Amino acid sequence: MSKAQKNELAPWVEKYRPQILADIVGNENIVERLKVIAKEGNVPNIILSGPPGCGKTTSVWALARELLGDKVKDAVLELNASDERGIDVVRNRIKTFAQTRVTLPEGRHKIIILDEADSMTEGAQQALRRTMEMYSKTTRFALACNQSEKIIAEITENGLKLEPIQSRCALLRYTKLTAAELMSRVVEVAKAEDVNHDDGGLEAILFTAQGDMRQALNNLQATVNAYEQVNKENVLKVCDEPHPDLMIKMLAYCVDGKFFEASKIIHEFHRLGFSSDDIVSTLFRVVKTVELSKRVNEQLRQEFIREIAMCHMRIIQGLSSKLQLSRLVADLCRVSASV
Amino acid sequence: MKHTEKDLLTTELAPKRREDLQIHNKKIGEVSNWIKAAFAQENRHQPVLYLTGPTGSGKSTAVEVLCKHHSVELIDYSPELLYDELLQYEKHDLSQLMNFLIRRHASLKKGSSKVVLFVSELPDQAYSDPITFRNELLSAFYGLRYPVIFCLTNDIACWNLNPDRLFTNDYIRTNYIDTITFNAVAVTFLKKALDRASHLLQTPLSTSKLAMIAEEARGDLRAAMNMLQMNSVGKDPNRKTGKDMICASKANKEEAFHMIGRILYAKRINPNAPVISRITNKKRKSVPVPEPTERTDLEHNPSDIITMSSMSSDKLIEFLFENEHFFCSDLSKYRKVIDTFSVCDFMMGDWSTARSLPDEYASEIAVRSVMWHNFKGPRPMAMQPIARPVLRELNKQMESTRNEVRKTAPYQTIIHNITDPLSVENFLSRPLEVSWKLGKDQIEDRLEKTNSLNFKGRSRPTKNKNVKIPKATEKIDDEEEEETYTIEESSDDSFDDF
Repeated sequence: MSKAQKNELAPWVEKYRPQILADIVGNENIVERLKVIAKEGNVPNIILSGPPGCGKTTSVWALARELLGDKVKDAVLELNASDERGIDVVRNRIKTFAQTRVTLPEGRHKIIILDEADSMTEGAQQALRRTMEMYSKTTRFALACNQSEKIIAEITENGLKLEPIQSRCALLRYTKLTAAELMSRVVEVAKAEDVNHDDGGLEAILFTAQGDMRQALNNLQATVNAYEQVNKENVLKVCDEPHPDLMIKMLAYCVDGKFFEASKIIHEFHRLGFSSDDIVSTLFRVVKTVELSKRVNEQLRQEFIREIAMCHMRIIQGLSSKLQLSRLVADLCRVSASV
Repeated sequence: MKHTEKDLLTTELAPKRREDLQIHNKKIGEVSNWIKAAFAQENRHQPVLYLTGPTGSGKSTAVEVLCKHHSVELIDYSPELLYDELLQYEKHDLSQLMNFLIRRHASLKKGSSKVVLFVSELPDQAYSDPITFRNELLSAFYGLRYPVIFCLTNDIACWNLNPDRLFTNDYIRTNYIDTITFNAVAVTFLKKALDRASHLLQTPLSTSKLAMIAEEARGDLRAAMNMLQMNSVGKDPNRKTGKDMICASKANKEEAFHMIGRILYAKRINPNAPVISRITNKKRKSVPVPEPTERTDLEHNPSDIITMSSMSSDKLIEFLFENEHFFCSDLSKYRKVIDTFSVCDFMMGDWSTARSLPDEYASEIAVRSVMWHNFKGPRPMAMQPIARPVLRELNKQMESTRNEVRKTAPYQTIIHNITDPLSVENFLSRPLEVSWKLGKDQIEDRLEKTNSLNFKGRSRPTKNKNVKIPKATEKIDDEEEEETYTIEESSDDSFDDF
């Protein structure tokens, strides 16, 4: 009873986290390979990298569950970035775990999952290297990190590098989920929770999530909690995003060279209290993904993105005034006229 | 005998015989000679070898195999295994390493008279306090009972953890430490190694797949073996072709290159093309369909392509920049595309702002611009190989050269993350006839002759100059030439950049 109740209150992200590899959407290449490995055993040390909400941790846990069956509790150690992960932790905690005996079938290994491995200290990474080799007979490592580029890039800003670790792991690079992949899962969850939804609402959820499954499910749940009905208006209200329809209208004015009408809309966003940053990022997403009028051809779209990018750059550098937004509108009108 | 794979392939299939080592023969010879020499004559001091190279270049494996070959026993320095009375881990500090170096190791010796100590890891204290480390090590050298090999990875970008910071040229020279440097493993060797390993598996991988792994591994044998393991598990890994290859540096490299091709060719929906099913689609090559004269919609959405390429903006743009000139039809269009790249470059710069500009902008702009301008006009008809960006390689070389410079004696006392401007200035303002390609030792010699470099009142050890230096110089010369080969091809003043 209490368990069911607890389940009821659990975030949907957790409640509907895929338990087996077959349920994971997206990144088929990698998941297929993991499935084979789950059957055969002898998983190498792996690094999983990719943007947030694309199923890295889920895959590792699903893999662990399929590999280890009911032993999963004893044979998996997970360390998060929030856990202390200095050199001593790597030395002692990981090592103690690596040395404990768990009877596993042949070809199966204990698994240590290090989430957000890119945030580990240099010294800890160095220490990990050796540990990885020493216990390879009994223990395998799965490292998840958010931005692979950050550790793969030849020269990084803070000098954080995993080179020696990378050499010891097979790297799996996850990509952002596509709209279709997100949609399939969101619809499943909506059905399972018996959510009152319409197409516009789901579209808005995809629009706000931008390929992040965690975000998509959170937004869905938040909307249901707040309004029951999942439609476009409610989703945008919950996520507190500037309304994309108005943005489309604004762009249409820009294409027609109607500067004042277009400015009115963007000033309205400003008056409503959206930060310039939010307005511009949403505008970018609209221009990038939404079908605009026929007159916005490829070239104009590219020019639009370019102007928005320049404006965004000024904003992050500190010029987030209303004037900059007006300038953006003027720029958009100008490029529309010139193309 | 076929193996049943239980352990990591890197350990399971590690070469056991000298013939199996896929490393340059010269390097194997060097290590082999060192081991022979170490036991050949009665040395007053035990020899010390500083063996370096990139990750996975086969350093430790080579030592292991060769020691076995010469029936020498290796005693591995593994600080983790030392306990104190209470079975607590002893603190992993310098004293432990020093004890290891001067101990008798009677209990570990298995009766063999030939013993080599093998250190593949340094305590953290060494990196935080290099001067103490060097001094303590020096005193430990006098108490050595056996030859020592320090086997360390030295091409890591993090200079603070780079062993070259500890073993400076000056230190190596004055203390008679021998050096051998391994290079990244060449693709041909990688292929051979993979081939050997793959045939020991129950289900060998196809040659083309092995070749792909070899290309991808970037000279890293260990990474190659890991990829092999990742891809070889399963009943019949060759069942599906290509599609499910997972490589190290790119999860789906094929996909990424495919996407770059898509961007560059910027195919548009062809109304003339008959609607055909996917299977017959492949035959279209032989029957060319007239290209539409009007600009139609793109076949693929640029944003989708970017997502599918799974590359970061800077990387994607580097690739596009490297290849765009093959695909652009005229100069004015090319100018516009390059102008866009320049804007992107500007946006991707490090602006040290509180929030960073979303990475997507640059790739969106660049890709859309390329796809817009690569319309009509002659395209490379045959398969056009996609060139890899030279920039990355250059940057890497610059970084390693920078580390080399940091390592060089005159700078070592000064440089701690910052580069002493005076020394570098001297180095850069050297007389023109002193080419930097000479190798650092010769440059120093010449600069010293012209008195343009002050060696901080330290005189060079003239005695061993005749004995040791020429050998060392020779060695470094060779490598410098090897290394700079690609630089020369693409740009000759890259060095001046730093």
